[in-house]
Amino acid sequence: MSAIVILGSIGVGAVLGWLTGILEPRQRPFRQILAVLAASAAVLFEVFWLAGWQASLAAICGGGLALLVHKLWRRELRKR
Amino acid sequence: MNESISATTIQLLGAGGFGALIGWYVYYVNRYRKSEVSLNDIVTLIGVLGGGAILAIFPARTDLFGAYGIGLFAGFFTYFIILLVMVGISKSFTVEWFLDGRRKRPMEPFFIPEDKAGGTAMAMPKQEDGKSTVND
Repeated sequence: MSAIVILGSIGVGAVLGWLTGILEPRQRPFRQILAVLAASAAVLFEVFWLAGWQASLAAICGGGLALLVHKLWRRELRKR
Repeated sequence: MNESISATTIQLLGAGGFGALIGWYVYYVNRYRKSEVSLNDIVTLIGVLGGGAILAIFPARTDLFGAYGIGLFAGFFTYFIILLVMVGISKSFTVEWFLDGRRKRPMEPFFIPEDKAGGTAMAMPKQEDGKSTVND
């Protein structure tokens, strides 16, 4: 597994995580979370298909970090 | 373990450039949405960045997908960083614009055209009659 594939998978995961951080479920939160999880799972499966399980793991880590950073940033903005 | 098949530099640059364009456009589409974020927006955007086209374009086990991912990241977050810098520099916007689209009302001689030729950034606050609060 080359470094470029791992870095690219982290990049895809980070964009995915940042985008999911925008959504704030208000109506039918369970359904929304389920749909986002399904869409994210499809992308992660694609990463797995194209680059293997290590790349999927890297994408999950990148996505989780981006989601966390985005949520914290939005919370800081709301505090103002 | 090195299972991936290397690609030529020009192929990697092409895949990275394609990813950068998609990343830039994904942020652009997100920024110019006209209302609250809906589930459809997120699912569509996620579909764009990892849609079937990616499977068709990049063969499995090559570095091309990696180059695409790096380009995607670069395009998406470059847009965001440029936006952060521009909002920081501007006297008409504060960082809260990222939350709800708030901005200072334009004073004469500035105005926003009715046809919104310049686009609508983030969710524009609306009055009860449905008109924009900015242009009045």
